[in-house]
Amino acid sequence: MNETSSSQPLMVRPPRSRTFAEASPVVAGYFTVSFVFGLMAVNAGMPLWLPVAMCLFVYAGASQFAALALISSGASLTTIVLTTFLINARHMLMSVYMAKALQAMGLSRLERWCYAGGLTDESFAFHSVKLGKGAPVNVRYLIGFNLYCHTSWVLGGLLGAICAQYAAHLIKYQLDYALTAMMLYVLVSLCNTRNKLIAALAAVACMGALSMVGSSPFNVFIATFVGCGVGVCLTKRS
Amino acid sequence: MPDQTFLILVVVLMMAVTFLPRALPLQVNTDHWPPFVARALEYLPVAIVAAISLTPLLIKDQHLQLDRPEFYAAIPTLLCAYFSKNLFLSVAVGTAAYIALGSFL
Repeated sequence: MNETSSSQPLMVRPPRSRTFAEASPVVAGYFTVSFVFGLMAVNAGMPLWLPVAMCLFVYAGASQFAALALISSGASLTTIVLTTFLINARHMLMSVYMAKALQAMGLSRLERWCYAGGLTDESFAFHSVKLGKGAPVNVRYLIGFNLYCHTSWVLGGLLGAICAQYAAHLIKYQLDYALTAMMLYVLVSLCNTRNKLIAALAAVACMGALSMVGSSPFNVFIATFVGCGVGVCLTKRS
Repeated sequence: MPDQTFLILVVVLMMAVTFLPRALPLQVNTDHWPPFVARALEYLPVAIVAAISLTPLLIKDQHLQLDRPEFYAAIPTLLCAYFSKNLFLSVAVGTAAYIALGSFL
């Protein structure tokens, strides 16, 4: 765009437009899902600011929907907060992975806090594919990617809340499958070796078996440990 | 409608319990971790993404339920992702398949 950037080599840092292009599927998916969230919140009798504040400050898909259902049913504060904690505890695993993966980049404390604020299932999935490929990424790209996603999450919630009276029928289109499809694509990209494919199958089998016994937020922890354990055993043998 | 103070408290506390698990592990210095942790972490993304994305398609209400559009639509999505390596195409195929199947099943 301006003189300084055109004089530099193109590969030094990803231009903002490329960051946005790579974040755009998440941006579109988040917008749709949080639009539905805003819609549902206002239709459940919540004030307009609540879905917007939740999207801005909490920024967690499944637990926002769970909290909405709990508030509507008159649950206690403790129940709501504990449920949120348990649903989102899986992000600890992702954060541990990122601590190691981002080590080489030498992030400052502040950059770590900023990055953590935008760490979600989808951003983790996309970033781990990129880091795993050894693609050149820098902290501006990572935080920029998260900011685009977070912004669209907040805007979707706001618009959904405003349009609640007029757009209640949009819920039935269920475009949220876009997020599932995106995660499936990422999963295929992550299964780039035979060992990783086996580790993934082990994790799904374990998670599936546990979910049939009872749905608990700890299932994902156990399944991830099993998947990693299987992976480590396979690495040792080969 | 619940009162405003309660809702503000809900948002503030939810923010705390969401942000801290995301942020605290990232502050840890990983220089001195033993090598087997690094080997295990190599498998963490694939294990966690597989567990959180595939399981809800297979299991609903503690039962294996494969006759749902969520599951059927995953098949063309995975095939498209594997063969085309194109994200936008895979998402388009998956969402279209889901909507189409949803009107039949």
